[in-house]
Amino acid sequence: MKPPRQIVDLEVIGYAEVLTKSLLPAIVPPVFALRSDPSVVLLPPYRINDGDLWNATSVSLSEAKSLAGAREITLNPRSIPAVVGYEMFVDQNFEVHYKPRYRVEDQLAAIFRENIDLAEKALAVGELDLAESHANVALAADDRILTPIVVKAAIRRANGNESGERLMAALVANRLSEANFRRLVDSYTRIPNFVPPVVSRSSRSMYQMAAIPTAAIPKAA
Amino acid sequence: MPTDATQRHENLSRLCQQLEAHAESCGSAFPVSPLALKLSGSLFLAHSRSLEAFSRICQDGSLSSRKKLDAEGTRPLDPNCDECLLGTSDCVFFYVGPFRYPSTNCGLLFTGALEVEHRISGIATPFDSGALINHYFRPDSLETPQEFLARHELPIPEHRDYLGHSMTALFRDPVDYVAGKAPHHPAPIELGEGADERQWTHEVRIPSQVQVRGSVHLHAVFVPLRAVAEASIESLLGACERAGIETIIVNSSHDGEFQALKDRCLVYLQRELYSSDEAAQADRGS
Repeated sequence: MKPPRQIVDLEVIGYAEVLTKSLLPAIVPPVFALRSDPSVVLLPPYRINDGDLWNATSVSLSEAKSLAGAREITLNPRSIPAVVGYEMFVDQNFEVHYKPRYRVEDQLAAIFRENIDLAEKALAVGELDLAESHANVALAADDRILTPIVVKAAIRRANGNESGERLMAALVANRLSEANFRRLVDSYTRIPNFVPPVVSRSSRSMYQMAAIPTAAIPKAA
Repeated sequence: MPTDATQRHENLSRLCQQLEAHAESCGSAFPVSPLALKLSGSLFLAHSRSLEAFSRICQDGSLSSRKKLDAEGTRPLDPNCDECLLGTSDCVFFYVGPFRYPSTNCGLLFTGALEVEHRISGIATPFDSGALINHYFRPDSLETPQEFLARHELPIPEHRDYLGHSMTALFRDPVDYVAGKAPHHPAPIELGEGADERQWTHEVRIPSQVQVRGSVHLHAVFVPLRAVAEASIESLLGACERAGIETIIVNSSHDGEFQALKDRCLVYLQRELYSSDEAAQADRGS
């Protein structure tokens, strides 16, 4: 096995993705170069452990430029020093961020919350395209939470697109039964007599499940 | 310049003879074991891409060669790229096995019947050809990568005979080929050390374009859930659902999306091809 490179000996020159607007925000794997010799470029797949970069693929700067030309990677206009514990993400406005991992997670969580809230509000007033757009941003920010998929299913139902709604249920079938998924969609489309379960958003066991929209939870008398 | 069918069949018989002699000198088994026979015949053709490239594939409904994408003005082709130097830029590439192309997070598995459909124009090699330019060591430094490639191009689907033999002769267990564990015995095709499993993974190349949407050979689609934010991907997955083609959602792991894709594919292959399999039991019992 080749010896690792220390992160502190590297600079970040880009990321190993080429993104389109509909796929943002997204966490991206940085493309590194040696600080001592920027003509040596290090690409994923690699493993970062305890400040070391293991098993990166080494290519020349000209190969990296060729990969960028072929739309395999994106090179930034300026390089920045690599930092241990930092992660890179591209926000929904194509702005590149390189920050401590916990701050990236916080920022993505904030983007998720803001957009799922906007999606629910747009859905409630029948602005389906806007709801779809916000649900997609929320989905890109965190696809471990199923709420955006439920919102998308509710949009498909509102559009009379049965197969689209079925597809959404099928995509999350290993995490949510069809009946429970349907109940969650019902809660968005305000089916009469539906009494949704009260869900604690902080419950760990519900972390990977969709949250019930607040509008659908009956208020206490 | 791709080899013709006669040369590819000659290559196959030469490489099989070479492998048999090599197995004899290593003291390893040579008749193809039942599990190797089954796996080599049934392994899927794997093609994986980044999410952005996958969304374009979904829009097009097909996989296109780099040369074709360049001609369409979709994606420029560097004339010095490895495929251009090897003369393979007008090919669509597959691995016979799980997804092995790095930095990808979406994948397609096709059945081996795709090879039968393209048996005249398709070509296989018992390694990833792209690495011949910069990454493999070649025993004869006077031989060009193009010449080396021509000596190892095999007919499809007959290259799977060689795959079955090498799974038996070189690997401790035929399943090791699928799992990406290095061969127990060194391979007779010398490509140096230090390369990854692509050094001994069979590659299949099909000219120009391979249909995805509506393909009877498409077996399964692997995507992260966030992929359905892209309308073209949702549309393809909807068509797959209606056609009974399985979609596997890949949840990201701490080791990254490519590792998650590989791991999920391995679990899938195990389930589809060799879990509680009689051939596997027979192999391990013998």
